[in-house]
Amino acid sequence: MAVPLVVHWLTRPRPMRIPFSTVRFVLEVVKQRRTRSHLRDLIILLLRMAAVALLAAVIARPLVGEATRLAAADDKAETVKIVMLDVSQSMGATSQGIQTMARARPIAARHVGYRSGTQTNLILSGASPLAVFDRPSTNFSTLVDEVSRSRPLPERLQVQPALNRAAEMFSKIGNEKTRRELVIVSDFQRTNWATADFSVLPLKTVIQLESVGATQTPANLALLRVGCQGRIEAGRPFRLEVDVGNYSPTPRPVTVEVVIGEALFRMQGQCSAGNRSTLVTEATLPVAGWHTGLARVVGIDDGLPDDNTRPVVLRAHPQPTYLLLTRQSPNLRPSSSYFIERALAPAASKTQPQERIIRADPARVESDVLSNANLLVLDHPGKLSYERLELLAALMRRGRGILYLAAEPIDATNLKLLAKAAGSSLQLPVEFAPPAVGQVRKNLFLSDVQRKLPPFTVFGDEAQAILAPVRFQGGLNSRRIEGALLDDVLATYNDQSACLVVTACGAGTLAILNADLGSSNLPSSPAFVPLIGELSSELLGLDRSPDAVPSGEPLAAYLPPGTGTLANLRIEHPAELNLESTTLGELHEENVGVLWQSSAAGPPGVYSVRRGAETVFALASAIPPEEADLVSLASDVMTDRLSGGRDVQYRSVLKEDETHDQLWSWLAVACLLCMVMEMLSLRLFKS
Amino acid sequence: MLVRKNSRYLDLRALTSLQHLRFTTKRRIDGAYSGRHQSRQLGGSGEFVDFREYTPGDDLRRLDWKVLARTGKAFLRVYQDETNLTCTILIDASGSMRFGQLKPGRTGPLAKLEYAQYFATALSHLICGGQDQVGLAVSAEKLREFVPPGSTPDHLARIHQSIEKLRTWPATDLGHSLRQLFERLSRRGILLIISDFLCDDLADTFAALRLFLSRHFEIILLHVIHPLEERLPTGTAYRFEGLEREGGVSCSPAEISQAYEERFEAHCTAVRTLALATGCDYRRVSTAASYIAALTGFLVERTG
Repeated sequence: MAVPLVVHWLTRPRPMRIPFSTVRFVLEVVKQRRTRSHLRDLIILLLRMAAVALLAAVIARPLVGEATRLAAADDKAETVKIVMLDVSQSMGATSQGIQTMARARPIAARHVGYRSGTQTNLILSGASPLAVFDRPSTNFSTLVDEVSRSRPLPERLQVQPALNRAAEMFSKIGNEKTRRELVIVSDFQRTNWATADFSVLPLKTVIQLESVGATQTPANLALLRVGCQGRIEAGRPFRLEVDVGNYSPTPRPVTVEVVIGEALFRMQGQCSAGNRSTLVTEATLPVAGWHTGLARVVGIDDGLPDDNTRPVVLRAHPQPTYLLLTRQSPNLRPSSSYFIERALAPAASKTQPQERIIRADPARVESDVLSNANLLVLDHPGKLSYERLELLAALMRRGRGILYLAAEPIDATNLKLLAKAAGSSLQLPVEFAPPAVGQVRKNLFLSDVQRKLPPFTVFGDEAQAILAPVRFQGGLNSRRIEGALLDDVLATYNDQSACLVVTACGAGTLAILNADLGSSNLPSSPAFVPLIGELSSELLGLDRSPDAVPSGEPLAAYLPPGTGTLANLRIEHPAELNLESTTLGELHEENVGVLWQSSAAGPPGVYSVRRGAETVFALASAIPPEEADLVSLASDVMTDRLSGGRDVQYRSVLKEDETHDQLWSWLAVACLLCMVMEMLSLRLFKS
Repeated sequence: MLVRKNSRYLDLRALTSLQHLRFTTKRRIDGAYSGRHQSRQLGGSGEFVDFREYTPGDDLRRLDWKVLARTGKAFLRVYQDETNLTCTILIDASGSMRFGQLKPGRTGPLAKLEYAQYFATALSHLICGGQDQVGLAVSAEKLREFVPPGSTPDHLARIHQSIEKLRTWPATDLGHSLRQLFERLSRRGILLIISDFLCDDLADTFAALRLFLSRHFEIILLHVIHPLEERLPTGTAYRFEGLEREGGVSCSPAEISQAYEERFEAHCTAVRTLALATGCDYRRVSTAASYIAALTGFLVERTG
């Protein structure tokens, strides 16, 4: 700013001294014009100062903002600096032709570069944090190389583990006087960062957030899920569903092609803006077994192309096998077990294959028979051993459905022990108890029915009319458990005891029908067969194809119950991926079956477990759906709500660049304007 | 007539063309000696102009006896006396009159004082040549020098010497000087003031002149202007230093040129207006023109 003053002083006119006789007249005239002259000089000076200052600002534009707020160049204290570089899938998004990762690399490289008295480390943050060194180091060149090699991974960002890792490093090095700096280079995706908690870091840590996210969120379409509703049975049509997320401000027509084996299924639909839409088509898999394929969005050019495809794994089951565990004689008719058997297998048509029903005594049934059954039905089972109940609970956790007809007082004990065997995975909403001595449970009718939930949805609006004449007898008393999920009680008797309870247990479900079918008039009601059919379908549907696991995250999957032992099992990865066998995880044999475990699921693709040429299990690894939403978290949320009392500074690189560009233009215009105004002023004052 | 040849302001060859011209006046004047100019008095000698009826107390020697004999009435014969002219030249020797001095070896318009010196020397020479008396007064902040009117060659030489030795003083008070001169002049005549009239109080100057007028002086104002005064020099910036302790002022002439010219012209107009209103004869001369030409015009105009 002093330059214009100096220039003004140096360029001011040097007057020539001459003696003059009429100087009094000159004085008079000058006095008249002095105010005007001073005003002109002041205006000219100010305009020149402004022009020079603006010109300096324009020239200095590339340097403005470069001075990081962290850098205390004159700070001689030892500094420990950890740079967290986001390598999640969203960093592969492209905006204005530039990948977000490409923007992030130079910023991260600048932060990990040499600085006197500083020890630095780099954490590549994806599904699990990966630190380049165990502790901060002065090997800056390696860190810079790591930054230059970094690529977006098909993973979601797990923020908290990365912050915990940084906090651990900070706590292991330095003393109270050590300056601790954490630099996070990320797009600060809302879905990942909304739950970040900086309070795990040491209190005086300076946190610099370098946002490389686009100022305008790039429009993105993503395949979030490919699956089916219910259980797929070979030769029977099923609903193939594809969830498409439209993370753009406008609705978009979408075409999705799903290739499974040699079959191609095409779905079209309109995806509403900022929403998740489900496209559905009817498909049929002719052969039972594992079917793999690929789903992809057709004709879309969006911000993140990697999530436009998704591997698919579907399992087609053979016709279901029901295992009826009862101590009632098959010849006893009418009886509760007879009615339920007839309801499960109504008269078969010629075109539809017949379901298989195995009737067995629960005390004598073999374990492999239990494991091979698709649906377990317990009716008058008598007292069950705890080992048997543990096996049932394990099967439930692994995806089996159990329909328990609670008719006898001993059933209350069985259910209590089953809940105990299932542990925390089973939370019954009610506690069943035998009827009190002398209490007769009869003429019970349904007072409260969840008509909008299966199995009652099958009746539609006629549910009230159909169910009103039904009278129940027998069963157990029930008492609601405090804090339990009451929505699991689908029907309630007029004495407020539960009639039908459907509760999840691990991957399976336990359905309890609290009635003695033998003495109730339900079997003679037209509602009986549809009700049991719908209920069994729901329970069988749980044995559906497994959902894709998120890539990069820990994997733990039980192989299907019929897999058998661990012998001759091997894991195979997609042929196009060149992966080491150690990255595929390991198979462990446990009590309830074979467990496939891996610290991190592999890149997107279909992984299978084979025994010889036979595929016994298949699993798809896919990009987590959270990565599809590219919206960044607001800066004030980061600096205020999530800061945890730490000094958090936020800087948006792209916004600053844009602001700088706009500012530069305006500065140049203002500079030009100052010059024009100076000329106008000179002309106005006739100088 | 004895003339000192060493006055550098007297150019006799240039004055040769003016020898036939006389400095005169149309008014009747008082003179000490007889001369070529009409006296305010009608005496018994000189040129006959009229008859006048006798009134008691008149000089009987001027009675026309022949007319008395023929008509029986007494008439006096009236004659116009002729006397010499007395002119006092007042030169303004204030600092501002120094303006326009040329450096040695350079040519251009004369400085105002130099111009006044040439003009006064020549005019005094012509006045004395016409057997009239000429005096000299030098004005600054007060009356610096006064040479009473006279017509002898020695007197003229003294006047020329005084004019030649003139120098300027840094202050001016023309009114005060005129009052002092008024006190020194005992006989009415002609007062020729050669000045640039750049004084603080112009009204006071003309108030002093009215004293002379009240004594029936004829006053001639010769307003000397240097051409460089009429407009400011061109250039980026000048610091104008006053010649009469007015200080200095720095300015860019281009910015004030027009206003200055208007102001200067207003000053000249004011001097002329005041002079004519007071009853003075006013003549504006520029040093850009030859003093001989200015003197010629001046004398021709007065001769009529």
